[in-house]
Amino acid sequence: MAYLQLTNIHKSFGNTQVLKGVDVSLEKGEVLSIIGSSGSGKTTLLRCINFLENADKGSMVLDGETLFDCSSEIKDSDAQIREKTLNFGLVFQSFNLFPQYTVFKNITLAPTLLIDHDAKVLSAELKKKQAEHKAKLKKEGVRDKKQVAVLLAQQRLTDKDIREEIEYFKTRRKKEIADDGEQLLAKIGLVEKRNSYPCELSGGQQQRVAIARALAIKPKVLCFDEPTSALDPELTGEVLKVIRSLKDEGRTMIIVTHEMGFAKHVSDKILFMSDGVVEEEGDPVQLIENPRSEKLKAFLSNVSEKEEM
Amino acid sequence: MNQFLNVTQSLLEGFGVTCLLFVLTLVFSIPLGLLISFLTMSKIKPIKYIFKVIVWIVRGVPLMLQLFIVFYLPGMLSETGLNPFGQLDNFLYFEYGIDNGGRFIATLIAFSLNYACYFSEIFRGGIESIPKGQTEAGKVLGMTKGQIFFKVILMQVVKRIIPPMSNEIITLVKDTALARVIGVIEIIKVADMFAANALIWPLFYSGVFYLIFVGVLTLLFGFIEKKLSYYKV
Repeated sequence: MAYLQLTNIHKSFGNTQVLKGVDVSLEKGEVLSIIGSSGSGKTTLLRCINFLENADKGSMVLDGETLFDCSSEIKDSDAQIREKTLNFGLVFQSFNLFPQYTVFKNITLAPTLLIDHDAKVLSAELKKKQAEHKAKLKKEGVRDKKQVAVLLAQQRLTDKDIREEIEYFKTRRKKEIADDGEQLLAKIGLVEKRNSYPCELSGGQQQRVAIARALAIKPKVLCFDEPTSALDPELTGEVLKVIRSLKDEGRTMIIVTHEMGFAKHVSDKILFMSDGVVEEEGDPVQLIENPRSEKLKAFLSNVSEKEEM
Repeated sequence: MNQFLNVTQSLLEGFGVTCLLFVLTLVFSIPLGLLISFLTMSKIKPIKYIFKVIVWIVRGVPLMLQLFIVFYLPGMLSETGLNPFGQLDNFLYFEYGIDNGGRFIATLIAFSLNYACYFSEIFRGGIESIPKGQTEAGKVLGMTKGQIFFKVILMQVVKRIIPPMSNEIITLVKDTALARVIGVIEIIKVADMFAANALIWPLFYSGVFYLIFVGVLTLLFGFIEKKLSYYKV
């Protein structure tokens, strides 16, 4: 089975069927571009992958883990869905940066908010260990309170040890997140904009920050929803450059785009969607230069006409 | 001169009650307003409509009438026929030497409810005006609903609602004068008591207190707006 496998995805809004059984498979490190005219369902597909919409039918498996399966009776809790969401990063067409935070805080906010949750998980683990050890000591017949305390301390399992461990974990995570943030800033080439607010940046810079923000949660698959559509033409280049550098790193990515030239060069695979189904898919060069279906031919000639105008 | 100082001192005492009513009304009505705004945006239809009707009633009936209702209705409905706020008046007077405490509490209840309903509509407008993309960005980053509201949405809402809120809050300063209809001795009531003794000018003089108070508030809101001008929503 492929690294990412979507099977038979259906989605309707009211009476309108937007996705009518879409299959996607993607290997690790591959870049998939999804093209198609507006209303073809490509954005909805991306939103289903990112848990912004719930598919009506179908399933998604990533790296051997089933992320959703509509045929299953069991419903995920909000917390489970949140955890699964973190497998994917999403870069929006309209950036959606948080306007009240600096560039750096935009990037580090989400991982920072996860610290408390992770600390709670760790604390629960340690408490469980502590309880197990106490039970063991009791079984061995150690009754004296002082002796129990000494033996627990040897295992670093007293209440104080646990508190210290959690504090240490939190400090370490904060430092890691800050380091990651700096690295991401360097990657998108905006180190000098560290403390700027989104309103002080150009569209291209904002989108680069949005990419860094999506990367900060360390997603397995990074998704782009028409990342350059809201940009002035002269600003698309800088964003595409960042995406290309991510491909060179070997990131698994799904890009919904209208930039045919870019899709052709950066993707390992292109998927052409029309009317809620995958009309054609395959090798980028072959697909764009030798389209088989009439719909793709029409779509491509339409796009190139627009580019010439 | 002596008379002027005398009047000023009495008015200041009344103004103290005015300020207390103002501050406590804000303290209660802002959180309550936020709660009501959530309830009027609830996905559960009955809750949503019940609270929409409540907001309609509270905004649709004169505040003065609401004061009368809050103050008199509980007494009329009680088996003994005694006004609980009147009893509270007596209790607070004999136990703590506080005058008109029960009436004050009745006023506070009516004001808090009334302003909460107005605020709730401002909050709702503010919350609904924040682009959906902000919530979605929070969701794909794995944030909880609470985190999305408090870390992402709230500060943007605050910035947007400061102008309408400052309007409403300034209106509240002056609405406190209504409390006198159920016998709370706020500044206008004090001035009116002078007027009853043929001394009219304290009534006009009391306006100066309101002007200064509203002036300070205007400066404060201007300051907050400026503080928040570092980002655009």
